[in-house]
Amino acid sequence: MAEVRLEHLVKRFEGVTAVDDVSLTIRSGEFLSLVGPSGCGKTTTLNLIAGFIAPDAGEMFVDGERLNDVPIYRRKMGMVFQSYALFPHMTVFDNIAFGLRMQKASEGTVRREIGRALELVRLPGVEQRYPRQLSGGQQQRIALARALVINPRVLLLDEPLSNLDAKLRKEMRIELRDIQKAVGITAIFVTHDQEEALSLSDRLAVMHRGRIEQVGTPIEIYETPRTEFVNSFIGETNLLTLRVLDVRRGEAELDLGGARMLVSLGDAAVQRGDLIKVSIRPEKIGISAAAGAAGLWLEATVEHAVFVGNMTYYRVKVGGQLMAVLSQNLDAHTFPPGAPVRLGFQSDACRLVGRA
Amino acid sequence: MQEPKPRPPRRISAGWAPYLLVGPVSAWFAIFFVVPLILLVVMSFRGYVPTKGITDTFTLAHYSKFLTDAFYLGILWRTLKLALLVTAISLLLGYPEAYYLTLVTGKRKAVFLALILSPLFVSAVIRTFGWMIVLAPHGLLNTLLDRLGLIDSPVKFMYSEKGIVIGLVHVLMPYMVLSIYSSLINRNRDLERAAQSLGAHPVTTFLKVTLPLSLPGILAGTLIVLTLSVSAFVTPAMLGGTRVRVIPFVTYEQFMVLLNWPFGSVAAVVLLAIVVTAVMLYHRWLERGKWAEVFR
Repeated sequence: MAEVRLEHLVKRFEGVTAVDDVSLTIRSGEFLSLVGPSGCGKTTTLNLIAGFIAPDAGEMFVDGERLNDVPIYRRKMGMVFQSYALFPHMTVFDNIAFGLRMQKASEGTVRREIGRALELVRLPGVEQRYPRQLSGGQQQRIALARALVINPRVLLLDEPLSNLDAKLRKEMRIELRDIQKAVGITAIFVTHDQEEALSLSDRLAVMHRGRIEQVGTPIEIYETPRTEFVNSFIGETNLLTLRVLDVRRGEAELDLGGARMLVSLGDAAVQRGDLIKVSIRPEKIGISAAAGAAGLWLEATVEHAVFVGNMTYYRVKVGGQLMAVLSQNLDAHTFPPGAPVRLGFQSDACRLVGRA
Repeated sequence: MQEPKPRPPRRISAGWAPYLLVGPVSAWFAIFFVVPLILLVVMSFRGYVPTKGITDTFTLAHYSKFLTDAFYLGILWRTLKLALLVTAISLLLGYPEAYYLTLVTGKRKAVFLALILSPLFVSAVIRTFGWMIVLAPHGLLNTLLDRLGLIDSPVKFMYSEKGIVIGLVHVLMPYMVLSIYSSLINRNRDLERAAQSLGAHPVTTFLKVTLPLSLPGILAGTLIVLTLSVSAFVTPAMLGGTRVRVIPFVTYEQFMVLLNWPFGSVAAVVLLAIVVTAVMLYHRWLERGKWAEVFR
């Protein structure tokens, strides 16, 4: 187990700042995801830690040891790539043995360790196959075994599941997580898939334009996103621009399609008459028939409804604004387009994002 | 209402397609290559009487003369030795160049590619005359070596094996570089990163990963350079002449100067047989050996 510390890392490519003053501590044994859209700097950050590229400024440490001037082949980082990167001209055995042989391990040790590694990734008996004879999921397991067998200080994963089909991706997610916890290794995982990041990680670092926007547990990131970007990137949300009718006791009273609602202001300075942006997640909104529903105070009209099995996804019109509502299918009823409905949500489900 | 049936796309009947695709080039090769080759082999068994010329008799005399005469065996050995030397030098000089070309982009890459291809833009005769100027006893190269104090008297480049090797390496280099380049350019660079993250020094990474995976390019490049240098005529003829004969030159001499077509044919057939056998063995050795998986 090892703690990784990044301090003010900067990396520029031909004038474009790919990584812009990134500071982050990855705790020992932690599974941390770097998540963001393509070009946000997450892979560059990982490549800096791996040593494939050198930073223009800043420092990196593993357990207090400065990494900057340590060449790749002495960093002892286990790396897993999106392309699997298994050596195509070597058998599975020779692939996994590669790192051990670099450490001058005896052939007896090599054989024992490979057996153990293949057990770990639940793929024993494929030693003499070549990578092309394995499926994508199997290849990625072998790549994971190859990375782990050298007993690395940190496991670096660069979109390892992105080349797999959807079903396999979900299975591998759980397995990857289990293996990481079983081995007890610090893992840094790069992905553009926010669902993957939320379901795998102890903590996430959301990146945008080379900077870290927010670091936190999946629940913190999802429930209390601190920036507009995190808000829109992680999960789906309704961003509404509303006028402040009144301010009192740290709360703002807002006008939503003629109805009144309250939002907590925190320490934001907002005055009566301001236009502000608030966010509310689609699944936090209740939806019911127009007549006789208690606690649902907002009148709306269904624009369209998409039935997706366990959920129905509605787009509704409230006042002048369109909102997404995700409703669990507790019964067989869905509202057709044009139906008048009532919506409701807890006031703490609604969060202030910023000024419009 | 019934849906209109989609019309099947029109295509060449599968039974005829292969013939249409391969037919023209096969016909071309048959008429202009296979037939002359058969005639050449037939010619090598015909008799030759200096006063009467070619006779319609079957004889193995030319073969036994060629294969027992130290003079011709010496030339055969030289031809093969020079071809191997040219191939080895092209590989050693060309590989780093091809590798470098995969690392650079833009203008720099264009310049180096143009430089490498430049020998092909100039006619063989003009290019070789250029080399004669450079390699002459008091030519550019000797003058330079002399000025640098590296030699006391001019090195004999002209009409020597050295000159032939220099000239052939120059003109055949593009084939070597482009073959290796094409096998390196699409490599998955993650493989090299993976090897290094597993503890392999960059040199080890090259030897264990990059080099084996570029074997198909090395195979193609060495085969092309080997066969082209074995059969090269203009460069050895102009830089070696009658003093440093190679088999293609002997063949030319027998056909055009001495008019002994049967013996010229024997020289050509023997060289062809050796090269074809060697190429097949080399190919098989690489594709069935330790690195077989690379060629799949």
